[in-house]
Amino acid sequence: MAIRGLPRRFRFPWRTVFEIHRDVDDELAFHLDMRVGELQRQGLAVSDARREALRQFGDLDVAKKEIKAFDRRFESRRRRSMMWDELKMDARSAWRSLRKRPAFSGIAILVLALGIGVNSAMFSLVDMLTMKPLVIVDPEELVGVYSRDTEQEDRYRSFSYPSFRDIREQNDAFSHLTGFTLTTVGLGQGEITQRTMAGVVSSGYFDTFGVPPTRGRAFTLEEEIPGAEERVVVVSHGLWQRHGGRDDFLGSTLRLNGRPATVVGIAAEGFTGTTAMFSPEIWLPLGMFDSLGSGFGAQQIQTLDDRENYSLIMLGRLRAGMTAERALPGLQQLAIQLEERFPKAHENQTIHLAPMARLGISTSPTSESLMLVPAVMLLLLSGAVLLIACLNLTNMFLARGESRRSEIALRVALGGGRARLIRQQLSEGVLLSFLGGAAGLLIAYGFMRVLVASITTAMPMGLTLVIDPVPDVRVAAATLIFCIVATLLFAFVPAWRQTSGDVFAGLKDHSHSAESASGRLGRLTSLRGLLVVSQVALSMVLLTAAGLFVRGAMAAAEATPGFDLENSFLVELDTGLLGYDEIRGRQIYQQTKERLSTLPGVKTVGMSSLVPYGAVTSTRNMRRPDQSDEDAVNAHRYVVGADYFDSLGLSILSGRAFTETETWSEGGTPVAIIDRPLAQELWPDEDPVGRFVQQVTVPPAAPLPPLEVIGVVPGVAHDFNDEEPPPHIYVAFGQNWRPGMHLHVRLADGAGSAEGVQAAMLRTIRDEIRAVDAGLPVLSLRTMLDHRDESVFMWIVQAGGKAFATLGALALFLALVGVYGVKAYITSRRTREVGVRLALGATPSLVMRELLRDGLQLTFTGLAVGLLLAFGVGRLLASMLYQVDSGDPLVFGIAAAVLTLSALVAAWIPVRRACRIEPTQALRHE
Amino acid sequence: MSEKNSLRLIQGTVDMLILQALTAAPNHGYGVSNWVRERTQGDVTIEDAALYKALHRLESQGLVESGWGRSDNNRRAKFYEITREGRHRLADDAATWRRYAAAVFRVLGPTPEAT
Repeated sequence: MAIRGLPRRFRFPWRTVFEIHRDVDDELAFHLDMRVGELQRQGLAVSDARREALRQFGDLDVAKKEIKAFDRRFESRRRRSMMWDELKMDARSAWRSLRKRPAFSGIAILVLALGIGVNSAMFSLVDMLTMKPLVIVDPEELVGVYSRDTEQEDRYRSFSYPSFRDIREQNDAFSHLTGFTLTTVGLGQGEITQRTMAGVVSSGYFDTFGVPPTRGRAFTLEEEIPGAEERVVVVSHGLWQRHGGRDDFLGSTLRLNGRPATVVGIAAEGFTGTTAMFSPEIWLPLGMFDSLGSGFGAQQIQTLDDRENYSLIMLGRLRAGMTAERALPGLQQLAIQLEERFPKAHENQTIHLAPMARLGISTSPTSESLMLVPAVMLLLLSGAVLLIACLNLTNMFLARGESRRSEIALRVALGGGRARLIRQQLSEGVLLSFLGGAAGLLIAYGFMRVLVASITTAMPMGLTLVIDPVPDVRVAAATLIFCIVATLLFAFVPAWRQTSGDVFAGLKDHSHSAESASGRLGRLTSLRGLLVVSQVALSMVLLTAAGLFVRGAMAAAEATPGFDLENSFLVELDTGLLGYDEIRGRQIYQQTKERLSTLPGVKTVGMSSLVPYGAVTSTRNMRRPDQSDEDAVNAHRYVVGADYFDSLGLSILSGRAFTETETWSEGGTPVAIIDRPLAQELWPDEDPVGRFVQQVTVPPAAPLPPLEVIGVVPGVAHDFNDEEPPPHIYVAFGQNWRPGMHLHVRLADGAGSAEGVQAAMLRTIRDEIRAVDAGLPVLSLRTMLDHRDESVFMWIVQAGGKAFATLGALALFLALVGVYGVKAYITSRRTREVGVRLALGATPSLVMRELLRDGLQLTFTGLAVGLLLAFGVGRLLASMLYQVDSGDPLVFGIAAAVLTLSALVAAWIPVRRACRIEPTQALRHE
Repeated sequence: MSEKNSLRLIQGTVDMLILQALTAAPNHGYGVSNWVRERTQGDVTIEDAALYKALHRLESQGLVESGWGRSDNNRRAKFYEITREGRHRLADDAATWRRYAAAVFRVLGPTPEAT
């Protein structure tokens, strides 16, 4: 407050605790001194006067204490409300200032939204892949238990059920131990059966995670006993919700592989077991293991109570106070005891503890550092986009600051307070960032939705994706951090620069005379130059990365496994999902094949267990009878029917194809067809037809009879990455029953290339299968080309291409905004010079060339730096690229050309505008 | 009148007296204390501790503002000034007080001294 007639001293807007106390002391001391003086004047002695004054005052010490405490509280309340008021004021004035320049603000928000949005999206993805906690209580206590070979340290396998029970009963390391495996089952409701991934788990599975089912119950020990066949199921929260989420779902009956099972529990919301992103949707007790048949990874012939059936993955929860290091010796001792008691099953096996993988379920400890490289790459690249965005904004703020320079100089000179000015600019920056961040969150949400939809199409074998695309608290917090970092990057530097330096120069130098401008302009150009160079360089990196991926995607889109993919349809069936036995299953395949073969336009229908470019691979080691096991050749093993090679358009090179008998009936001499790559490995100089090939079995599995080679076929690729066709061995369906098979339906040439014909054909095929068995699930039905294009591998290549292309396009766009902005600014500052030169007779084209040349140096410097960086990034990406050299000259050339051309155009627009100006007008400029 | 007999002030009256003391000009706490004494001819004495507590409380309520200045004998002293809000409050409180006093007088009848 202003005390009239009294001078005021400078004060901070608020007081420290020390100042508060001092003020109270001073105030009361003044009062007492005055009173003592007054009493003395009335005739009292000094000591009496003092005593009287104190008496009149009351309890001085208590009063002081109370007043000080009161003032401290009051002061802090005042401070908070002042800060809040200022914040509101700042926000309001920032909002007004942004509203005044809608174009500037709009572009700034757009640039920030893109920059922040990309980062929020990438954070969502990387967080989900690597960090976001799963629905597990005290996850740090959980540890994966693995059986490791003592001879070969990197060889792991799973446990048998009897060994799991021994370890569970005899260890003193774990409070809970669970054993489980995965399988696919046919889950039927009404007429429809779907293939679903199921966890087959021991009792105590949910308790090990500390996450019991929220409704109903988990599995009992009785249900876990091998062969118990209590047909009970726990379903995921998601599955329950999709079925209406009603209370009476608990206790209802589902059809599992054609037979009823009762829902006894509903898992907690979000529970996924050990994995992120995907999860089984149903869990079954281990007691059902033996009847589930078409197991996944399990050796079907063996039952669960077999100590040599190693099919369980183990997960333990360490007792309170126990660590993995301290638990290990006891467990390894247990392994030694098991080896003594069961020398065959436990030969050379010890126990190893390691954290469970997040992105897969494996019998060996999986390091997820593999995910780290792409994750860090993604974050770095999106960080680069944000950096570019910020550089652009820095530039925009600097340019805007120039136009306000005299205003700012005036305010600084008048004591407007530098801190206050910086604060104002920062608050504009914060507001822009927050608006951009809000839009960025929307972008992240959109991205995650697209990603989820995209992955879902590539998800193999009934796995369900469990990703919520809505940004959570973690993403929001990360976005907030991006906003703050961005603000510091783009708003602080210009604010600092504009309010510093020579105030008077800013005031008087309104018309930029050549001399005074040179120094400051030089500084500016160097900062601006840095902006342009780094933007161009970063764009170059992102464009090249995009180019490499796009080329890879293009190469993959051309890939063929060595036969014609056109005019071919692929049907996947699994009679095991309905619980059918072998006889019924064979009938179904025979009838289906017959019906499809007689369709008009269909040339042949072949059958096979595996498909090139499919998600499943099965290989065996094959050798000549006279070779040792060590010399065996690893070959892809396909179970096929009679017309398989015909249906692919592959000719028999020598010998014959399988007969109808071999396709449909058991017995007879075990026969095989091998391809040329395998033939060349085993019989380089002879015709293999009529010779025998031996399949290598690993004990304890029993040895198999040799197979007679009856034919040789050309080689085909199995994976996208096969540069040479790998060895294959084909065995007959009749002699090797499998409930799950693929049918290749090949049309007569020219019969089905048109889009409409294809759609009609797909419908017809589906109808024919329904006519054979209305309940049989058609697991997939698509053209061979779609099969290739919808594979996981293709998804990775294409997603990489799309991601980098988006980032690259974004970076290019931002860099162009940057180049344009800088050029426009510099050119406008030289308008007067241009005018003079034009007036003196220089041709516009000459002036234009010179103005353009200035900017190009920066662009080329940026290109050079970018090229170097891009080579480095290319090397990092090499493992993710498909059939492209990481230094592909075409990609680098095109990226450089695109960037140069775009930069030229961006620079040319403002230059042309400058040169079109009338000389007289230019001279009057400013 | 001795201090023993001085009136016990009704709660809230201290605030009113302080505000009234400051209506003419800004003053320090010592000045307010003296003003009250002089105006009431010693009939009303506010204990100084209570006076200062009241001043700080009034400041926190925004009824007075404070600042450091120089006293008559050129010493550094804390001055208080009544705010607009303080004046409004004073007017309200004074009106209430007058109505109250009038009511009490009506019950008690004419004062003995006046007869």
